[in-house]
Amino acid sequence: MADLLALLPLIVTTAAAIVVMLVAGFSLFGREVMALLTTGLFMFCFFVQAATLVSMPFFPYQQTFGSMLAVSPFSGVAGLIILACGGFSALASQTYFGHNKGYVPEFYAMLLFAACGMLLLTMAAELITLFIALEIMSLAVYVLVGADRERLLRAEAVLKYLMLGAFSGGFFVMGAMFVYGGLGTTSFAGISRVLAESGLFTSPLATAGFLLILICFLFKIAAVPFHAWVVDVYDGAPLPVTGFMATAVKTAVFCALVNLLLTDGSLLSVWRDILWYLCVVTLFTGNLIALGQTNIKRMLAASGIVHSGYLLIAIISADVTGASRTVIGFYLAAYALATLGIFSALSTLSGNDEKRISFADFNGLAKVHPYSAAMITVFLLSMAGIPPTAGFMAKFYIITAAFSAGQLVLGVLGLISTILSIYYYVRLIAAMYFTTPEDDFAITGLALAPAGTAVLAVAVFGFSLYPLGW
Amino acid sequence: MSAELVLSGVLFFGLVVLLPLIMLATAFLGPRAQSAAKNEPYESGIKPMVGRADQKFSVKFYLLAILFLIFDIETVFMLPWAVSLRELGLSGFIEMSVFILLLFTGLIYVLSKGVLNWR
Repeated sequence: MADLLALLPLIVTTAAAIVVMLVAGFSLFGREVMALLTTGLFMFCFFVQAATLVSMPFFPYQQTFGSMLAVSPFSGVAGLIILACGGFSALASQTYFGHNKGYVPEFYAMLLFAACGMLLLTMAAELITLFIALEIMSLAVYVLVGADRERLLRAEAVLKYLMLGAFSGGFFVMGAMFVYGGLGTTSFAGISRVLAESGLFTSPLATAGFLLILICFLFKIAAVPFHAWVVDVYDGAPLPVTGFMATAVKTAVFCALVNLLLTDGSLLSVWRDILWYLCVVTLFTGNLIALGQTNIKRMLAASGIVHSGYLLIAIISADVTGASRTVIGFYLAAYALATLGIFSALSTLSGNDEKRISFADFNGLAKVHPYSAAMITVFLLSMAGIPPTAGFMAKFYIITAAFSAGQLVLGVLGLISTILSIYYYVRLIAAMYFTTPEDDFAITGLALAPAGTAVLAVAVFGFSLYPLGW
Repeated sequence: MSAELVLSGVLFFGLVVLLPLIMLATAFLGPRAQSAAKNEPYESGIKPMVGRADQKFSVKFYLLAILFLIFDIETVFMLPWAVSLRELGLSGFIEMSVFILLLFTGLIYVLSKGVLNWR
């Protein structure tokens, strides 16, 4: 019974997804009611997850279902971020599909099914469970990206994502098989125990297996050298889906990676050197790609690579205490707030068929829509890490953690990367404020996405005040 | 022990030698009626699809194939459960009921989308 109680948020989300699927199948409601229903269901799941998280000290379930799943405060917080991302994406999609083609009612069911996979991913404590959760999430996201078959850009995005995603999934299964062959266990706790006893390089099978698993994770978090898909796929996906992928998918995969690495830290101590170099390359390659973009969506996709780099800094300088997980959770939440905010603002402003999407298209937005421009500025400043936003606090905690863990060079490189990233974030702010408007920026559709944007803009400031307990 | 081995050896020998012999014998002894229609591969009564590998099929075949796969997997889970029904007890029954219920909602969805109406 305690097992089922721990899984309550997942069960509720799955039930909600099935309800939305049936409602979509019989076409009971119109587009706008579907969006509101899905947002409401996400909010309900969010509260169930929050209640489970709050009651966690009273029901100490660490491992459930024969240690296939592990529920921890970190997985609970990641679940909260994921469900909030789903809710705000559903809100943004309501406005987005008001002036864009390609709406199918099953869009919302897939959003909920993806959230189910992500919640399972955050709890996975065993390689095969992790793989199943990863595939539930990925299959739903493939459909979300490519639901509109008529548009060439979507088809290209979904083809690239599906092919490369299937390969990375295959790598993962192969790696899990090698690890099982080498260590005789697939549970995170068992892997840590065997590694602590004998060390990794005693078993060539396990070494190869962990390399393949690392490749899959690097693909999913879009770290260099497996980052090439991210710009095209984020560009081709509908705007609310891009926001959802950039935030929720990243949160879920990072949570799984942290669960795998920090069970007792023995795997991280092996991987730390590899991750160090990959992290530095990720930071600067991402920045280089973002500097050259003229399309805002592509710039945000490339900046997502850089944010994965910051999260890798946090992982490299992590230890097994809860403080490291808190820093990572805080960064994921702060990044999710700003990214969701800018994507819901773009869902409103991009107009019919995403016609306004390059930097030049937003020239002089501040003269026509001062509030929208101000909110976009807030989100961009948060992503760049300018105080007093949540993004600043998140970067501050990560760099502090790197310095206190003795990773001085990495911390300094992270700071340099932040300074570089300010250029392409401020470029959009300059375009909005210091040029004359050429466009009338006419907006159609119900104003749900702007409402969500406003909530997120307040949250970006509010969340920066959240005290971290150290 | 050795008697069983001999018996199974005889059986194996019979299978290996006799079966090809019978098949060869039918080719020589059986009646022959060659025609164009008879030489075509049999494909459930529809016109056989022999030709280029990249020719296009109607998408409804893929839908049917996917539906078949889903309910095929259902059977794969049902059989081991049925075999160990007594060991699993009530909790196993409830879990299986949930599984069937989930699949049933899938069937309702499929019906609502009209996939089973062959057009």
